Amino acid sequence: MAEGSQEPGALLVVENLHYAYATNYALRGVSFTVAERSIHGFVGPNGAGKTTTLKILATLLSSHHGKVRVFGMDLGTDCRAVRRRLGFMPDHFGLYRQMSVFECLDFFAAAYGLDLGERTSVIEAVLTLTDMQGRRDELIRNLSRGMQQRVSLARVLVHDPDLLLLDEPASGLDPRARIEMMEIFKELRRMGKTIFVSSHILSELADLCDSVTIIDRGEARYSGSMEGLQALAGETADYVLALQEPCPGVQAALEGLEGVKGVERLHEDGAEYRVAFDRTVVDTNAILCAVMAEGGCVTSFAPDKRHLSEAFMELTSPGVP
Amino acid sequence: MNMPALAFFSRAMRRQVTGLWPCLFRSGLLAIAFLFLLAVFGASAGLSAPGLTAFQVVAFLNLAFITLAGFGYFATAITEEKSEMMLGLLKMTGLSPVSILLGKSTTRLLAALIVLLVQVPLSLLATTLGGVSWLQFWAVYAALAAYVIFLSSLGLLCSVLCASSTRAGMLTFAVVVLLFALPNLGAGLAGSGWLSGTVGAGVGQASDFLDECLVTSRFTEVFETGFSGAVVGVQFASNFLGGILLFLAAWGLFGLLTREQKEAAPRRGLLPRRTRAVRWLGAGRCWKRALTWKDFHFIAGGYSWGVGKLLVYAAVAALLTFSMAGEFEVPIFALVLQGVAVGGTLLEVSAFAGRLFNLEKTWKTLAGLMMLPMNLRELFGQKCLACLLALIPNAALFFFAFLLNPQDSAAYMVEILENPSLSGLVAGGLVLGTVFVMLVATFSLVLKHGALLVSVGIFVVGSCFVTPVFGIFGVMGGSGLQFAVAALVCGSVVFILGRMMVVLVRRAAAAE
Repeated sequence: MAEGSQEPGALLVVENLHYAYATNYALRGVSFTVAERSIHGFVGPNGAGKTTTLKILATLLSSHHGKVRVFGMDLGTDCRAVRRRLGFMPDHFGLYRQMSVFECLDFFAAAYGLDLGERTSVIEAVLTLTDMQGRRDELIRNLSRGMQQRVSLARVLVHDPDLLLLDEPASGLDPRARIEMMEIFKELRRMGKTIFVSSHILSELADLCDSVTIIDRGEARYSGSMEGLQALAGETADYVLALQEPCPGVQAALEGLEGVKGVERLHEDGAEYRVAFDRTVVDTNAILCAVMAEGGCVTSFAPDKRHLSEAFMELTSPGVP
Repeated sequence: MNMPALAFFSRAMRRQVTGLWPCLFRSGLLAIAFLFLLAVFGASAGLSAPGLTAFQVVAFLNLAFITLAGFGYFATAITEEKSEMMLGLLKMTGLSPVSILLGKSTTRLLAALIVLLVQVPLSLLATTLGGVSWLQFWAVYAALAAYVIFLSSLGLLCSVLCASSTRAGMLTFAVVVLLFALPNLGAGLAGSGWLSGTVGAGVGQASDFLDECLVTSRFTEVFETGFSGAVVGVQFASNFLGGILLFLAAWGLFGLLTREQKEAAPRRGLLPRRTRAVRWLGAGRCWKRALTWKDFHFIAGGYSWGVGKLLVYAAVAALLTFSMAGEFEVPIFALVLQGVAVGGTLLEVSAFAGRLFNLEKTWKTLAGLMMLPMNLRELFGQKCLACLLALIPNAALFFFAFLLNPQDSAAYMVEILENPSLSGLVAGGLVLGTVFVMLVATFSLVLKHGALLVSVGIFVVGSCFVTPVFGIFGVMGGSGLQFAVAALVCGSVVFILGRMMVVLVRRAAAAE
């Protein structure tokens, strides 16, 4: 069952959500909360119910059971009002590929009721944000997958939605395009948008998200902050320590500390270590003191982002659902 | 089954036997034939050769269905693999081009031949009604079989030539129309005196030969009383041979035209981009009714097709005038142009209905539409408005033709308005047209191809059951009560189809 509870300023509240395709239950009592102006990751293996949840939130599937409140409005009764403040980017883009970039954005802006003047400025703004100004007159069908992904995001943004629902936004993108896409999401968060993103790429979600829901076989296994995931690992904490330059005595000093379970040098000639320690015995200050006592100059000391992958593996079941 | 070339064949056979839609289609066609036989049997007392009448109806019905299948079924043999990006994978399996072509075309050919075959026992009943001999019976089915072979190969060639199923279907349609029009055009040209003696005679002979190759001409010959010709004639030989030649052409071109596999993507058609010199014919900025703008330009063809069809329809009307009258006479041209404008409107509306949601479903854009802050009624309304806007050139042509021959045109109008049967027919035609368009739109959400074909079938069967509809609208001197019943029947059908469309659109959007 989800651990997350309703937080003040929650923009999206899902409680006990059920959905069945004929007799096959896709969702079995999923609950989670998404805070305003945050990025919430939605993670799960194939067939876990991610896309079904997204489609319900996007008002495309209606015959569900349970409570879904978006912006304080009930999804079942205030569907039209919700749609105005919602942007959904499916994994297949959903673009009119025979149109040019400008025509497509102009169409969606007009469909959302923006007048001619507004449309011109909004399209310029979203093209700038997605770095597509130079491609405005190109046919979408002629663009690369990464570019089409950007146009799809621009399309979702034309009516200035408060909540963005993104289904696998980075799938099929090359590493550069993926990183650039993540930077756009961070920029959108800075602009005050709330982003609900489903993805398989856990390392990037770990960098990006403020909170996460892990879903498996139609049930939410975890929902809450990224830091909360650490608690799942029990009393052991994993941190990555980066030094300005290699310091030979550090590893031995740390290994000598009571409560430290292991120190692993990440690169043979580098100055990065993964430190596993029992937080009930030793705290981060003690570790930092030990490093500095050995003359090590610390550049960063942060929780290891791998914990999302580890939590994912722990919380989800193996095999095909 | 070790031969890879037979893999398609066995799969197709299995689908034909166990598939729901092939069985439904065969049953539907059989039901239509049975209904017509029953109708003729019922009226046999008043007919001199009821068997022949029934058999003629069944034969022409088959011809119509096979021709429609040519556009929507035979012409998708290769294009469906192209659109699913499967052609490259098929080639990688080691299948030779001829194996792929044979596999893909014989499956469709077989399906059509099975449809003909299952009717044989039923059609034999016609011989028991009198007026049709065994020779006539087998000659008609031989003519139909040869026509199926020809059309199947023509569809296959168009499917190899074109990138999309829509284009292949349109090309097949254009070639078939041309083939049926050529004998008349040739005869008109030969008789006009414009060509010199030898050339004129040659054109005349070629036209006569082409006419002999047409299945319709063969039917006319076979259905003559006392027909004593062979079971197979020139039409059979020419259609069969033509089918083989077209298959060979498809084989020859297959390697060349499928060398590069391009990702299937929606086409822009004639619509110019804003960077082009003729951008004034382009889509421009989106209108306030955004969906109307989109569908007008990107489904109905926009201004470019609006201008284009003025020229195309006028040219078709001129050719028809010439082939009918042997010379260009403005009053006849005006009447023909009115007919072409009305016929073109019917075709365009049917095509638009078939593409209305089918394209959104195919290119997975329905979810985006469904998320717009508008209800489905507004969505349907804006789409229908786009279709109406696209028909403005048709209306303009119709009234231009009216101005060219005001006396005759006005006389027809007055006759329609004053004659309750004719005005009833027009009103009934409009209502039934609405039902038909909704049928096409509904089936286009269920079927990938062939929505038009299935709709025609259902429409024909439905019309048999609701024959009173025509009477209700005054065609058969209907009363007020009949009118009310007809309005209720059609209204109910439109309502049910409307609800079905809503459910299907929602389901398709959620499934994307």
